[in-house]
Amino acid sequence: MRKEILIFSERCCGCLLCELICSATNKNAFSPEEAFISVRPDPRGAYFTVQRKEGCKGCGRCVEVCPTGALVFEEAA
Amino acid sequence: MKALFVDLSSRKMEEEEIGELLPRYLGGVGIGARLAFDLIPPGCDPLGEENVLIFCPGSLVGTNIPTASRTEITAKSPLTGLIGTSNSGLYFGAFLRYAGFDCLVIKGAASEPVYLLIEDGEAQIRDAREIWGRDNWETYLWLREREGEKVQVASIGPAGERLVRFASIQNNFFHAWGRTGLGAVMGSKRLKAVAVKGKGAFRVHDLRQVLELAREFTERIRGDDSFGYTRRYGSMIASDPYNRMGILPGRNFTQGRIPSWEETRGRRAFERRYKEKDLSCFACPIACAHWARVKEGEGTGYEFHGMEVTYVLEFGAKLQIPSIEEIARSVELCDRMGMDVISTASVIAYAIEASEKGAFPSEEVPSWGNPRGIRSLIGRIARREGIGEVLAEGVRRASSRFRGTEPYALHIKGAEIPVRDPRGKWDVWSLGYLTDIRGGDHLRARSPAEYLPGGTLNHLEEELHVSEEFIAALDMPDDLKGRVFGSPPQKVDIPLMTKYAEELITMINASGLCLRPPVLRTFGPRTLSHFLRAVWGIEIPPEEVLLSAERVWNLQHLFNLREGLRREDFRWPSRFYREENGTPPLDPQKVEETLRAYFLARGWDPQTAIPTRKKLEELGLGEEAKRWNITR
Repeated sequence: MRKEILIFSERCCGCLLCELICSATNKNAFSPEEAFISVRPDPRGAYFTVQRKEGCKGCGRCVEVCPTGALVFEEAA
Repeated sequence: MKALFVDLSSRKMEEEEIGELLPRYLGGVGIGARLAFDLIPPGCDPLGEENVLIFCPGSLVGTNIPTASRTEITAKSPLTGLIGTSNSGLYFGAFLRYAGFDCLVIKGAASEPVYLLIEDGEAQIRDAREIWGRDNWETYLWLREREGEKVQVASIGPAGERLVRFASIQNNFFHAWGRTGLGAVMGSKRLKAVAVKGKGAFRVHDLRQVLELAREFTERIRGDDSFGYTRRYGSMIASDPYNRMGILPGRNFTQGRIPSWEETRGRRAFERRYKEKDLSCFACPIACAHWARVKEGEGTGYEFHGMEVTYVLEFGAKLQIPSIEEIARSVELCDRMGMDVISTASVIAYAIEASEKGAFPSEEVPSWGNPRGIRSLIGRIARREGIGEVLAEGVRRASSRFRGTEPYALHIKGAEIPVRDPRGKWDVWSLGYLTDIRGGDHLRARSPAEYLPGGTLNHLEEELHVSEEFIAALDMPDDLKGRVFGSPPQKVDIPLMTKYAEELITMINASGLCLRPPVLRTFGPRTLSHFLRAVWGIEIPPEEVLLSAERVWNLQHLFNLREGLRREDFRWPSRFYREENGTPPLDPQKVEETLRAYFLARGWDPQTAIPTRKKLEELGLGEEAKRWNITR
């Protein structure tokens, strides 16, 4: 069963591990640009805007690697 | 592996395949050392056109291997005249690789200020006259406005432009390649910034294997005892023990303990009054950095990028600034001006102490712990105004200008000494200051069995503070474990462990990992061997990985010998041998004995610090030594 992914951008630490695992899983290479999730930093690199992009199938690999709980499955939220 | 060579004098650019360097030099600091040794003419002026500035991301950077984020920059140092090399994390290295290059080599000098834009496998030299003179934050925002929010920037501020000998290179807003004055090298080339836009991909040799190894290594890091406190406090975990042990560098290493230290500058003070959230570098699950804000009292609302223990030790102890907020404001000024925090604090401490003793002009020198006065002087050093002109040269050169001030100029091989006082505890870490390839510094020899509050058995052995299970699991050759720890394990052999600790840090800086405790305690040659096979498809057994790290250290040492480094340069300033500081002075004979054992462990002649022919041949560096006449 597919689980819904919830995003808490204010918790994001900016590691980009979600973009890395997404592109590795879906594009067979490490490429933040090509990931189906995007982490956009503010100028100081303090806060980030995390968004799923078109094409995301909700596989949830990004949730598994997020170290700070910025991405969580709905049932765990 | 592709390097881009940019000649700023001729504006010519060339690409070169450098993959053949990987097995013998491992990436990052190692490839930087090889290129520096080959390309920088011996005896050249580090601020002249002949110096070469090399940006080399670690070989694992760009993957999701945990903490693989860091880039080494290497050149001849204008501060020490020896190899200058510095390491920084965040995103720059990964995005340089996504932009198509694994290494960037800058030669020559531009006639007018320029910046370099790297994107989609191409580079452009662009006009930077409009931003010459601006600080690092203004420069970053200017480039972000033009190149977009994901541009990664290595830039210099006014200090680099004015060739302050300890100018740093800033990495976006808050990170830096701090030590050894590489910002001045960039300034001498009139290169204001390198801006990188990495929209491409990094295709590794065996993606499935990389993902599996990254998952395993993440589990190992997360399972280490140090993970939780490293996330919670970052390097500030160590702030309190420094004070308890009396090893603070207070008032230019004359005060090892400071009353009310923990309440004002300790880890809990930071956490309670300032910490807002966790931040990390690229691909790092530890997230040891923090965003912070003054939550109460004067200055409420001021925001800053966390706190590192080095900042509180340098500005809080060495210069006596009494609050974390004022320390953060002083670090901000160093970031904006582009100056190494350690050398800046040290040169100001030198000026304050020397002027107290009447040996240095006092009008422009602040008093201990006066943050406004200290920041005013930081600004004058960055602009080389008034007394800032001589202080911008670093403590060694400044003290040669003012008779009688040499005892207050605390440096090793010309690099100002940071962080901790060796008199309070003699250990691997303190010996590492003396043997550090880049001069007085605390970051190139770190033991995986490090336990700061632990004791010393004698000058050659530390107490053992890790378990037999920990040693058994340690990624370190078994025969070496036996020699370092004894069997059964009962101590840490200081000279032998220092040699290994230097090679461990070399492997970390070559691969681009971070030296935070969860990595330091779990990484080693076997892990790196697996990673290199999966990422690059090269087979290097663990023992050869370690040999390559040793080769890198020796090549850096040959660079230094070629530039005139002598055996007698491996010494602490006289203060540490002559003065008590709550703890007795160092015994010169014991320091010499330890150093001698270290040179023997390295296969270097203990009288001259020159590697023996046998060692050089074992490392495949015999030709280099012969060609430059560096032989016994």
